[in-house]
Amino acid sequence: MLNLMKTLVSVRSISGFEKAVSDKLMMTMAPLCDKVYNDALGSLICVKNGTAPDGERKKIMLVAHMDEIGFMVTMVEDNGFIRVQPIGGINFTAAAYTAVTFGNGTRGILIPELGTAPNDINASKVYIDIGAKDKKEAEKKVKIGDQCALDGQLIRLCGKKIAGRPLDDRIGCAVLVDIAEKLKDTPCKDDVYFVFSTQEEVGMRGARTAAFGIMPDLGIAYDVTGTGDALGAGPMVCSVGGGAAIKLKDSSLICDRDFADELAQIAKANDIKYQFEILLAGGTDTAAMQMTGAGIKVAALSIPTRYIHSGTELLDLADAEACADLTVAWLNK
Amino acid sequence: MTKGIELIKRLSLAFGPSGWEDDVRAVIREEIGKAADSITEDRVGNLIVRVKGRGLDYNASKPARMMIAAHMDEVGFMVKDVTDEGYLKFSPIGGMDPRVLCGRHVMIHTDKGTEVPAMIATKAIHLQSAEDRAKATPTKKMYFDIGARTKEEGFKAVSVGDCGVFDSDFMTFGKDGAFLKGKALDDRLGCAALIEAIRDLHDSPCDLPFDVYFCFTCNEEIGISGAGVAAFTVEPDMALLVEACAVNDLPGVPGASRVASLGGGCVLTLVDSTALYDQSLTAFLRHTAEDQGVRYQIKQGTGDVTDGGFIQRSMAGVKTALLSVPVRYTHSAASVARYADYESARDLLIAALRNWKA
Repeated sequence: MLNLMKTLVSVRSISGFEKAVSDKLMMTMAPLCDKVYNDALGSLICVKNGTAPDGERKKIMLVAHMDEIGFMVTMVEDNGFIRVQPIGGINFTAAAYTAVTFGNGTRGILIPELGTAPNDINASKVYIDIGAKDKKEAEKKVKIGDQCALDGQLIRLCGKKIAGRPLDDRIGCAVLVDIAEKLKDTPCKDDVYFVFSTQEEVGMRGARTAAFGIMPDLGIAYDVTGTGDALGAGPMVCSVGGGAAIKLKDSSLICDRDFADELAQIAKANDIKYQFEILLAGGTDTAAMQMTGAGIKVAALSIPTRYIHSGTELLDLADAEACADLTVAWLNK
Repeated sequence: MTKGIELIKRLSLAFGPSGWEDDVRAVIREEIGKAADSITEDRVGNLIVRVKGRGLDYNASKPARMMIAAHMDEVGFMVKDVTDEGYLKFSPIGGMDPRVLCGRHVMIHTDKGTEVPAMIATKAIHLQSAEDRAKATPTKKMYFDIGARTKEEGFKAVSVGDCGVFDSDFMTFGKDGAFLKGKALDDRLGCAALIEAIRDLHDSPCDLPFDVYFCFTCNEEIGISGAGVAAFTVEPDMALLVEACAVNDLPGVPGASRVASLGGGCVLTLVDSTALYDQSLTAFLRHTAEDQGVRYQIKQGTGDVTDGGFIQRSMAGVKTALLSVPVRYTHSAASVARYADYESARDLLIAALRNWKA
């Protein structure tokens, strides 16, 4: 999983511009599945057929989003500095004085206007300096509508912990790949739809249309979740290293309780480390799936992560592996 | 006035606050006449006009579908009560800055079928305290003056639930009359572009690889998007929204905050609050504009609420792009646009349909 994560964080994939990561994932998933395609919003959908006879197979949708937060260029100033707007929930204070990379490989640094108090740093108070001497030179490299993101990076810490960005939600994608690898030679009885969704960070858009196209019987979403174990964190029991986090609630939904309890029982029976999660603020693709069509029974397995949406997020790969193991155990129940 | 400006004028003057689009629908039906293959109205009031495709790339047994949408409704007001002194209390329909309301004329269309002129009352400057002058009066504290002297007299003229819109002349101004002023340019400019495209396809037919569904939609200004419903009715393979884009090209506004400029041509939007638009469709529009010599500009801002997201995320998703006409002072009685920008949006729409390759 570590090597896959290294590959996945090395490619930019800002909401609406996910093609590079989608292509990488398609190459990885194609040998593991029976059918792979992109839908109208760009979500990558990979289908692994089940073993039960026609008409007796359920459709199971497993979803993780492949987009990340970033910036879009709105203007190039006369002096060559570049103005941007956020795509997704950017913490500008955390992003300040950091390197960014554009789609065409141009590098730059994100800088707050001098004299701006840390709490006042926002989209209209920052610019990107690419070292251009004037507008003319800058426009050779960057034009309106181009997108960029903080640089991807990944480092190993104690045990199986890793830090870097964007772990949200490349780790969910890595979990889906892990599940597909485990099912490669021993498929379960139901049809499994692995969905790598687009545009989650701007409002769970890709998962919604993907779910409509598939109309699954059951769905599970895989995403990072906040934790209560950092200094100054809010009251939340979920912790890094505490195992797969079975979601009960976040700002966007209340999960199906029977489904969550079933997953907990299977984890217990198979000795897979798990914990329950109630996310204090933030939404996930789970909700988009839940409210599709006449409604879909959903659960979410989260990977506990510290410092989400900052320039460096931290998680434990053992928790991600537990999410994959628990899913495979559930599919084979 | 050219034919195009006459059409915009007629649409601008039509009465159509969100939910009460009857007059606009009637004008559009009349203007299209027999130029389309069919005109239908769906259950929420969207007018859906079909132009059939033909030619080698047209699959007659299972035709592809292209949706082109513009909204008919405009911002307006709803009467909610009459005071003892005969003044009307009202609620805005759609988002308006209270500062553009004071002293304006409104025309109320009653459920009895009458028209009642109303003035939005404001305290004369002589009578304002220093505190009054320093802040904008909120809509809640405003009222309509219809010349009624008592509650009874007021209720004889209007009922709770009657709606009004700005009563505002349409005119051209500036050098050579290049600028247009009127109410409801958002999005009657879009409606006009669709009507002209329908006429153009009728007058000089071409091979269209799909059926085109021109959708004149309702309820955009109050955020419940008739266009989203129309998308489920039409089930398009692709969609193009034609809108008015609120621009801020005013003195003292720094470049990055101007959004787009009047005179810069039609506006292509990459992202707004509702959607990240399809890159391949947008790139096709850019290339078409460049090939045909149509002026266009890329929108600088990422805000604005449109029907785009509702269409894009209907069903299993629809590839959607947004083309718009830049408009100053939108959602006021005196919205201002340049006719040449409208022409570039109309021409790009027609050129895109005639040269479809995406």
